[in-house]
Amino acid sequence: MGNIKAFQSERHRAIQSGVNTTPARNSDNDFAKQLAPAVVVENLSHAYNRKTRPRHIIESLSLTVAHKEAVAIVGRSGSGKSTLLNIIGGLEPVQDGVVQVLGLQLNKLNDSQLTNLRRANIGFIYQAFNLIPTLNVADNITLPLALAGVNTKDRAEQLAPLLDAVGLDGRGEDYPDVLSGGEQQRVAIARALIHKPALVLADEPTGNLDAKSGRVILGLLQSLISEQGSSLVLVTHSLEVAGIADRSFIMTGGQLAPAQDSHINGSLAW
Amino acid sequence: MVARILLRSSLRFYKQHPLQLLLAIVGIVLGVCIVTAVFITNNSSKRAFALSTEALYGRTSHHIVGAQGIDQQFYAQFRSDFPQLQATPIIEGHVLLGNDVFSLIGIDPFAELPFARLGINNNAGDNGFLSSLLSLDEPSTELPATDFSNANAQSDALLPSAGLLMSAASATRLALTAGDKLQLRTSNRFVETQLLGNLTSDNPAANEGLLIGDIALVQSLLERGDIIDRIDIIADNPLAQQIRDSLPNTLKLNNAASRTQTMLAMTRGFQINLTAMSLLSLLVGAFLIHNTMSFTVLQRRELFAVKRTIGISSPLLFGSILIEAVLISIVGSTIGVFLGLLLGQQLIKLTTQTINDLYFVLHVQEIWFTPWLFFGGLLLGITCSVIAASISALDAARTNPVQAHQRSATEQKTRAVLPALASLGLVIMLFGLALATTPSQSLLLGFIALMLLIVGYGLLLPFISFHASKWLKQVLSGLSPVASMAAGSVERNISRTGLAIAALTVAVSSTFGVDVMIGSFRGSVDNWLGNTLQSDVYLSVPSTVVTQNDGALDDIILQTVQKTEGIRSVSRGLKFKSQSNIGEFDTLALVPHNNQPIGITLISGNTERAWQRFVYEQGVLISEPLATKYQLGPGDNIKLFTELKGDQTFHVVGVVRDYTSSHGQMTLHRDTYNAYWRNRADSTIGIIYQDNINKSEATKKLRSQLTQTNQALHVQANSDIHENSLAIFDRTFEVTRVLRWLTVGVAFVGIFSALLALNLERAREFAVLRATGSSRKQLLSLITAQTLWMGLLAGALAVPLGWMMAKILIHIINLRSFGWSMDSFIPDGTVSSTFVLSCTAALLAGLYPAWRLSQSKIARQLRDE
Repeated sequence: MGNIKAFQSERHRAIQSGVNTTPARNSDNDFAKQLAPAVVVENLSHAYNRKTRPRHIIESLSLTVAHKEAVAIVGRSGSGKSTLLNIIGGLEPVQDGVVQVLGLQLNKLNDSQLTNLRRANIGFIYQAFNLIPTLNVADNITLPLALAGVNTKDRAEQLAPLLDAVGLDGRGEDYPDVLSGGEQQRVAIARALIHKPALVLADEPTGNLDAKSGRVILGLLQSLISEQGSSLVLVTHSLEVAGIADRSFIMTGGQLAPAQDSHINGSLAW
Repeated sequence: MVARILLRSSLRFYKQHPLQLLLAIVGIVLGVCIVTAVFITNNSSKRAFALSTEALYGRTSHHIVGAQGIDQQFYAQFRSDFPQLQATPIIEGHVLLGNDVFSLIGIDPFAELPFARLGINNNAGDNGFLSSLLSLDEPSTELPATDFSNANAQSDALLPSAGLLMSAASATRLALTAGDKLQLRTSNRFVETQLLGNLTSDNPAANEGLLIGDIALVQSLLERGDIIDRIDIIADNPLAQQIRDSLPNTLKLNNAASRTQTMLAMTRGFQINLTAMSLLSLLVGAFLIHNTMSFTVLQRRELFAVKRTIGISSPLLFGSILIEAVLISIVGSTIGVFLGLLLGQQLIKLTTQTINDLYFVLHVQEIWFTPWLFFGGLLLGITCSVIAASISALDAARTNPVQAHQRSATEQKTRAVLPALASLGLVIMLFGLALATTPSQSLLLGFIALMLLIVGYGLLLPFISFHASKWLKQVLSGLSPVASMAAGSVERNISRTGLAIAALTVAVSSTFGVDVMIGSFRGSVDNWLGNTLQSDVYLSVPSTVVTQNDGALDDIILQTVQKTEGIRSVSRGLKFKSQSNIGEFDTLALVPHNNQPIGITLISGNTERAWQRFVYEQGVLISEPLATKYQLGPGDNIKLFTELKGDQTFHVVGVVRDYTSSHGQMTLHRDTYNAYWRNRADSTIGIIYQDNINKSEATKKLRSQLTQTNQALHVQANSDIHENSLAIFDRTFEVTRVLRWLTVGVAFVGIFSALLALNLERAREFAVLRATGSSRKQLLSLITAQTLWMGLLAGALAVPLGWMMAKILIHIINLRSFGWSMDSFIPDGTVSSTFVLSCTAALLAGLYPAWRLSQSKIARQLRDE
């Protein structure tokens, strides 16, 4: 227990002081993953247009994601699942409640510290891929490393095995819009994983893909995350996608409810 | 129906992007505003000149003129030779009333009425002699000629109290009423008279700046002795020929219109240059309008692709974009025309000052604005916008809908055409340079060459920017990832960044070119003044107007100077207007220091030989503008209309550098003058002190001795004249400087809109960067570094273009407009200020979008499709 506290305290200090925690991450992550939850959400509430016509999208929601654990959140469009993901990723502010990511309480972090947290420890995967159209595949994937100040040589070294792993070996010079949807999502996965984050947040990763491509992408995501020992929070409206998670929740009325097997097995039809 | 839907869609786009719409309109507003303002300024000057000419000449068909005025005895004889002829004597001069210059016109009230000049409408002052004369029902053709042999007695008899009439507008402005004393300063003394009343007419602007009096009074005020300036007559052609045949060879009969044309021709170069500056602004404006319109089209390529996919034809799409451009340009041009009217009112003050400094006294009270100008401005703005938008519209309409969805395809397509564009640009530039170096006097060709150069270079810029950014990205990749990304982002988005850099480069280069031109011109004038003003001190009669320095120095002045100790040599000059077979121009009859060519810089002709012929063989030296305009050089002849011997041919022995007058000046030796003109007093004296003399002490002593002569005198050290001349020079270019800053304003708006559009278009991309781990600071640094790099590139690329523009402006446009050649050089600080300007413009333009993007919500940007 004392080790956990010591680790969390050290990480906390590092992020708050703006020090990049990437270099020490692998061993720390391995250690931390065995000991502390990746995400803790307690009594989270969130509303849009709070000042004018508030639309409450999350109401007193709680969730814990352990390290190495994959959690799926299933819900209708507009149910607030993407908002929850964005809050966990530090892209939306915490309005009410507590959100801890890797031991750090998000509402106590300033913008710079949130940036450091994302840069070092979080990888995002989006339904719309969100690749930068004017960057080629290699540049898109290595973008987090470039932002972290990693030099060209080291970036190239880290890129090669990952390109191979996502099946895009030799496609580094291609631009996103000459790739198929599945290939673009592979690039997005590679970009989310290149800095070996402790937490991966995936928002409808197969939403824009056909069933076959979706299955391939899910398999790839599952294996790479497992290989890296990262935690995964996945939001989707697809029950099949949710099937890769260790645990699944259904988001409705701004709250989470554990999904029953029956749900997973298809009784939920959106 | 479909068109309406398309327009609604466009309207919705601009509702969502109000700032871009505003900037597009502002770009057009500024471009149209500048051109309209210059058009109004030039035409108001011309109109004022035409009105005052009409007011002064009325129905006059011809003038009889002499080389140095006409003896009034001739007039009496002439009237008896042609008793039925409508003819009247005129005296013209300038006086100062307070700080205002007035044209003082002396007329003969008895002979005046048939000429119907001065726009008089019977409301002249009650006490004025003219009103009583005008109260006659019918103009009499049998009025006796004024008896000049007893001029004062005659005018006293006619005038209950001798005085002058003034335009009502001037009197109101100066708060003067009939009976008020007028203390006037003539060229060498103060005289007092009174205001008799006001001149009012249908067009008050016509009489602005005029003082009218009886010829005898004016003759006395201006100390003209028994000389009148001209005789105005009303005659048909056969009668005119009869008069011409009867005149002695020392007098000439000129058509009244030719005098007006000659004076208008004087300002032609100046007005053409103003127009050129405004067209340059318009070109920059058009470039920026193209830029803005291109961005609004580029941003909607995907939207256009969707429209194409659902069945909207290319022509309909093309047409809808053009209609959009027309609507935007109507708004922009309308505002631009009205702002141009306001700006024109300010510019006219500057240009009137320049015309008064360089050419002739002109009072502009009325702004020239007609409905045609409004429609012209509207048409100009719409045409430029439509041409600018049609290039992008054509591209959008012709692009394959599938490709339009692919942003990298757009970039790759752009990259692919860059070499072809650059090659085309090079060809256009070479064509422009060839045109510029073609021997010609055509200003139009000069302007076409300038425009081709700018357009050609503009096409070259994206290619250079792309490769320079690529190179920088590679250089920086190991050093600073953010800086490398910034350079890379310019390279990757070349379809957008190339346009913005080109617009900034063209705008900044125009300011660099104009700076170099003004600096070179100023430097050349400075050098020339240094070489020309060789005397230590100059004496002259104070002049009421800058363009005239022809007052007469009393003999006592020269005698006093000659008696003064410590003087090594004296030069003397007499300035007068000479008439020639190529028009009227300033002439200097010179007695040089020890008959040596001191202060004379010959640019054509053998100095020693030319000087010998000038001093001993009645050769004349002509100034460069005269040589350039009339293709004259050593060995050519020029026919001058002399006072004693009528038309005489003189040999041009050399061409001298001279920036005094753009309509030319001639110099002849005083001995030559004395052989053909009546001997007159000098108008200037130059003094060189002995080397061992304390010059300032000697000047002080001289000034005190000259005070006793009772003549109003200017005693000026050469450094003072040097300084004053440069002050006039700076005043002349004030309007150019104003236009230059307006061009920078146009450029800034263009760059701002381009960078705003560019960065907002990439909002989602920046949000991805933020989500991926980029800090706000990194994002700000990235955008700032990108705009700074664009500014640096534009600055670096603007210098060569600006230099070429300056070369064409100096060696082609100015030479053909004014006839002045000058050395071209880059004034200190011009290059650095170009970089400061381009980087500041880029940084300022990038600041707002950078701030806005760094503050925007990442999640929302990522959500927005």
